[in-house]
Amino acid sequence: MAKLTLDEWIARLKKNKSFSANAAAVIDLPARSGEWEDYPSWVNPRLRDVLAGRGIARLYRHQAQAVRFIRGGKDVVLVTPTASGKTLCYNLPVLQSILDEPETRALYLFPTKALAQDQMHEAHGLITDLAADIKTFTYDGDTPDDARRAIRRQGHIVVTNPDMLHAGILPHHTKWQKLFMNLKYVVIDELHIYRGIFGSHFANVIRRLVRICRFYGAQPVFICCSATVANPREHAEKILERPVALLDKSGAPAAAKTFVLYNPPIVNRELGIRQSALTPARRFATDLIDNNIQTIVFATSRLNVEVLTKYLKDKFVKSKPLDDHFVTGYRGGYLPNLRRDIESGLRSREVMGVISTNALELGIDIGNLEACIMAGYPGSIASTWQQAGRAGRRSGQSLAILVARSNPLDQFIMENPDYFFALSPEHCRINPDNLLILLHHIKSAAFELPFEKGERFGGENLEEFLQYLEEKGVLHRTDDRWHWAAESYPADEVSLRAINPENVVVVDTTDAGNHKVIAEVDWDSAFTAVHDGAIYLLASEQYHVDNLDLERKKAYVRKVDTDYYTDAMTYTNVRVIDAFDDRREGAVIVEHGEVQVVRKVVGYKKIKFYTSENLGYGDVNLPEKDMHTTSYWFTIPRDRLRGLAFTPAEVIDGLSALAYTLQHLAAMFLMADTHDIDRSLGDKSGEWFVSQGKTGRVITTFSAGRPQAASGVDGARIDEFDPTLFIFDAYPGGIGFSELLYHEHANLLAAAKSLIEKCPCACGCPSCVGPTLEVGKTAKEIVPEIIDLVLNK
Amino acid sequence: MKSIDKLKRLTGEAAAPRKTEPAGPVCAASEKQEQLNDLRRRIENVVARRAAGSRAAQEEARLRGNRGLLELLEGEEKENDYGRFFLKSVFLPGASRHGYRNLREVSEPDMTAAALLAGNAAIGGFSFSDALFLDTETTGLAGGTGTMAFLIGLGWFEDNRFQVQQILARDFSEEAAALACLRDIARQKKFLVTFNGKAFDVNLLSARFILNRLPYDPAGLPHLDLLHPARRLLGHRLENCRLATLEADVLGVRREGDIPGWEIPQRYFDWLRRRDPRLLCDIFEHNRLDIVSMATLTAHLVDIVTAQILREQAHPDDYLAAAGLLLQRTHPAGAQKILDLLREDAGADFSPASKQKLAQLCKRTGRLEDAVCLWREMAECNPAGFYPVTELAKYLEHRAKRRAEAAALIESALAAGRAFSEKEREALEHRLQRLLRKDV
Repeated sequence: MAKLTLDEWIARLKKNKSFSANAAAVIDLPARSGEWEDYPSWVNPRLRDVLAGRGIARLYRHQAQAVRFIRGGKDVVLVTPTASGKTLCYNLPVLQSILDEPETRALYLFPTKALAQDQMHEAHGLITDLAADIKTFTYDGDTPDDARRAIRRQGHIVVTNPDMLHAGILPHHTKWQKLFMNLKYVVIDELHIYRGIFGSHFANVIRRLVRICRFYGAQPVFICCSATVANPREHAEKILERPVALLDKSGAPAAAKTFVLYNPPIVNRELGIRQSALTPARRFATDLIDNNIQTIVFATSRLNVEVLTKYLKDKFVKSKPLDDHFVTGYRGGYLPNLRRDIESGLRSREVMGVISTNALELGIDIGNLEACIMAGYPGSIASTWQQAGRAGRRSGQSLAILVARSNPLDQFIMENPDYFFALSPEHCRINPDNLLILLHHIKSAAFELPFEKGERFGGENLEEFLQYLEEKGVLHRTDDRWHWAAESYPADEVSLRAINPENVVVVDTTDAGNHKVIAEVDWDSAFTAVHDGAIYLLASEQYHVDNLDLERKKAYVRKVDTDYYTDAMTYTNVRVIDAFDDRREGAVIVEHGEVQVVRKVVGYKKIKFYTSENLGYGDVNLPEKDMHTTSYWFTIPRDRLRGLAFTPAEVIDGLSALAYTLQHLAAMFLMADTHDIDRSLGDKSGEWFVSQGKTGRVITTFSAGRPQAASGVDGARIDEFDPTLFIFDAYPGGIGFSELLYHEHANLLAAAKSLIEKCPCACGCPSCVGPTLEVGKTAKEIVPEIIDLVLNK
Repeated sequence: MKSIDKLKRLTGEAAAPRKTEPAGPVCAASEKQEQLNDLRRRIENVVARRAAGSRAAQEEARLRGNRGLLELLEGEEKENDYGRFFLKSVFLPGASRHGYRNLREVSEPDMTAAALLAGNAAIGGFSFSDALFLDTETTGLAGGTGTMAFLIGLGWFEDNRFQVQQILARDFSEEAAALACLRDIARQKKFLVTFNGKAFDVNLLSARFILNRLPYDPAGLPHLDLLHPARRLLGHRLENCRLATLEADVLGVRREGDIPGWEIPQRYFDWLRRRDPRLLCDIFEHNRLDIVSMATLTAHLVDIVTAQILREQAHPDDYLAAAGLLLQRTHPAGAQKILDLLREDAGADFSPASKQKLAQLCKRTGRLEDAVCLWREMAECNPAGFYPVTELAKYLEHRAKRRAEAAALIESALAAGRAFSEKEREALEHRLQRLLRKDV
C-alpha cells in the first residue's frame, strides 16, 4: 500500500467518522508570517556576516528588542514559542560584548546536561564561523579533571547546570575568580522548569550567585527564557529578586500545525469508564509510523512508557527483527550512552518512533519530527505546548494529538477546549523561603563566604538562622561575622531536584555470575516501583524484584516473562500540628497550617497486560515515611452528616470521592502538577483515617502504635470522629500551595459541584468523583449533597 | 511562632505533642533511635549554652586560652597591619637527627636534581636555603572555600640550622594577619617545597588570600611538590604514598603518640569553643615533624636521582625508576650514571622484573652490549622467557645478522616453554617463520 504523507494522513483522519465522534477539537493553527528589524548599528560587522551566512539577514522584532534591552543592561525574561530564535537573543549580545572586551565572561544555565551540550555546540558553531578567539565550554559532572582548570581560567562562555553551580562552582568560587570578576551575563534558559521544589532551591542558588558576584564586584545582567506560562515576569522577579523586563511578542513566523484533542470513547457508561488513553495512542502511532511519518509519543509515567514501548515493539520489531531501534523507549532511567544513541537515531531517522516521558520535552536536539502524540494530558499547558513543539519545530505541516485519560483534569481540558487554546496557562510557583530549603542554602552560602552582621539572605530573619547554626556548632561567630566551622561540604548534603538525594540502584541478577546495574530509581519512587514482588519494567523487559535492600540502596531483580505488571497500594495518614489560620465558612471550619503526613506502602495489585484485569494482591513490608508539610483542610461536624439519607459507608465513600475531585481541581486552580499535592481523609488528630483496602474502604485507627481496621462493618465507626478532608503539599515544609487553597475554598467546592453535575456519566466516573469501583455507586448523588451541606446552602 | 521553632519541628528536633503513636511495625527500633537522638540533642544544647555564655565570659576564656598557649608552646603574639596572630619559632641545630640522617647532611642537595624532581628548571638556579618548606593544618579535607588553614607551618635552612616557624590563627579573625605573615616570609624565599601542596595546601592558601582580599598568590612561586617524585621513585614498593608511610619505610622516622590527621579539624573547633591550649600542642608537633621530614625526604630523593649509594632503605628498583624519570625529563647523562652504578652490582638480588627494566633502560640509552648481556643472563635463567628471547632474537636478526642463531633460539624456547600465552606463542611462531623464510 502506498505510504501517505502527513497532509494526506490528516485529511484521511478528518474524514473518519469514528474519529470525529471522539475528537473534542480539531484546530488547524495557520502558518504565521514574521516581523523583522535590521541589526542594531553596534553589531560587529563580522558577527553580522556570519549570521547572514546562516540565513539570518535581519532579526525578528522580538530578537531586536531583546538585544537592545540586554545591551542596555536590563534584566529580561523572554517568552516566545519553540523555534523562534531565542538563543540568538542572548548569543548575539554576549558574543558582541566579548568581541568588544575580550575579558568578558558569561554563564549559561540549563536544567539538564544534555541541553547544555546542545547549546554549547550551537554557540561553538557561531564562534567557529566567526574565527574569533572565544572559548566556550560545558562544565558539568562529565568534564574531565584536567580540562577544568583551563575552563575556569579561559572559558568566555561557561555552559553548566544549576546542580553544578550549586555543588561544583559556587563552593569553589575562588578558582573562578577570573569568571566572577568579569561576569557580565547570566543566561537562565527554560526558566519555567524552575518551579515547585526545584525552583525554590534554584532561587536560593541564584541568591548565592548574586552574593558571590557582589564579593567580586560584578553585577551581571540576567537573561531568562521561558516557555509560555501565565506569570513569567512575576516568576523571574521572584527568582532574581529584582525588577525584570518582559518580552513576550514573538516576531517569528510559525509553521502550520493541526492540533487534535481526542477523548477516547466511553466503554462502560454505567461505570463511566473510558477506553485507556494508551489504546488510541498506540493506534495513531502505529498507523503514522507505518506511513513513514516520524512520531514521538509522550506518556505520563515511566510505567506507561514501558507499556507502550512493549506494544509498539510487539508490532514493529516482529516484522523487522534485526532493527531493534526502529521504535524505542526513552526516559530518565536509561543510561546516558543509550540515550545519546536514541537522540542521534532520531536525527538520522533510523528511529522512526520514540516513546518518551517528559525527558524529551525540553530543547534536546532530536531534529524535526512530524507528529507528536500525548497519551494523557502532561499535567500543564506549558508542557503540552512544549511537547507538541517537538513536532515541526522549524517548518512544514505538523501534527499534535492529545489523548485524554479519565481523570478530571484531562476531562476538563476536553470539555473546555477554549480554555486550552485561548486562556493563559499555569503559574509557576516557588517558595524560596521554605525553611528547610532556606536553611540548606544559608549553610552553603556561609561555606562560600562568612556572613556579616546585617547581611540579608532570603525573606526570613537571617540572624536567627545564623544563631541556630552557631548553636549547632556548624558556624562560629567572631565579632560580627559567622564563619563556616565544620568539616563537611554542605552543598553535597542536598540535591536541588528532590528532598531526598538518595537513589536506589536496580541490579539485574539474571546471570548469577554477572550482576549488572541496569537503572536507578529515586528514593521516593523506590517504595512503589521496586518493592519486593514488584514487576519492574525497563526497555520493555520485565524484571521481578526479588529483594529491595534499603540499607544498601539496592534492588535485586531478575528477568521474567509474565503477563502482568504491578501497582502499589499505599495509605496516608495526616495529623494537624499547628493551624496558621482558621475561619468558619458555611457549616465547616476551614483551616490551613502545618501537618505531619505518614505514608506506607502496604501491598500491591497484579494487573494483566492489555485487559487490565486484576489478578491478585501481594503484601509489602516497608517502613513508613514521615513528612512535615503544609496543608489546607476543613472539618465537617459529624452530626451534620447524620442528616444525610445515606448509610455511614456511603457517607465515607462520598467524602473520599469529594477528596478525589478536590485534589484534581486544586491542581488546576493552582496550575500545578497533580503530583505536587496529595489528599487524605481522617480526623485532625490523626487517630482515625480512611484507606482503601483489598476489599473496599476501611476506617483504620491506631491502637498500641499499630494501625488496625476499626471494625469489620464498613463505616460503622464514622460516628466516632468529625471527618476532616486534607489537601496538602507533597513536599516537606510545603511550597506555598495550601494558603492559596485556603483562600479559594468556596470556589474550589463550587467548581467541584459543577464538574460533577456536568459529567455525562451515570453514577460517577474517574472524570468526576473517581472510579465507581473505588467510591461506590452512590458517590455521584451524595457528593453534591455534601458540598451543599459544607457550603450551608 | 518564630520561624526557627517551625524549622526545628521540620527537622524533627522539636517533636510536636502527640496523642497516639501513629507508627507501623518498625516503630520500636526507630523509637529507641529517636530517644537517643533526643538525648544527644539535649546534651549538645547544654554544652552549647555553656559555651555561648555571656560575651564577657567568652572574652575572659579567650584571653585565658591565649595566655595558656604562650606558656605551653613557648610562642609569641605578633602583630602586623592586619592584626594579631600567634607565632612559634624553633631553630633546629644541624646536628639534630631525623630518622637516618641529621639535618646538616641534608642541607645542601644537588639543585639540578631538585629541579628535575620538580620538573621546573628555574629551581636549578636557586640554593637550598631559598627553599620554603610549607605544610598547613586545616579545618577539613573537603576543600572549597569553607576550609581554612588555621596553622601554617614553614621551614627553611639558615646558617647550617633549620628554622621552623608556625603561624597560628587563634580564631577566624586572625586569618588575614596570619596570611600576611606567610606572604612576608614567602617574599624572602624563591621556591616552595611541599608534600601534596599542589593539589591541597597551596591551592587552599590561594583561595584564602582571595577571600581575605590580600593580593598575593603563593601558587606564583616555583614549586617542588614531593608527592609526585616520591610516588614515582618509591611508590612501587610502598603500601601507600602518605608521608607517614615514607617516614616509617624510607626515612627511618618513628613518631611517638602522633595525633592522627583526621582528628585535627575537630581539635581546632574544640579549641574555638573551649580555648584549652592543650588541644593544639599535638597539632604543632605533628606539623613540625611533617616539615622536617620534607627536608630529609628531598635529600633522599635527590640522592637517588644523583646515583648516590645509600646504605639504608634504598632499593635497586628505586634507582631504576629514577633512571626512567631522568630519561623522560631528557636527562640521559643522569640516567647513564645510575646505569653505571647498577651494572656494577646487578647481582643476585635483582628480580627478573628489575633486570628486565634495567635491560630496557640500557637499550633505550644505547648501551646495547649491556642489554645483550642482561638478556643472555635472563634467557639462561629462564630459556622460555618471552621478553629476553624476543629481544635477543631481534638483536641477532637485525644487528648481529645471525638469523640462524635467532631461529634456533626461538625454536628451543618454543620447545621448552609451556608458559607462553597464546599471543606470545603466536608472535614467536610468526617471527620464526619469517626467519626461516628469509633463510631460504
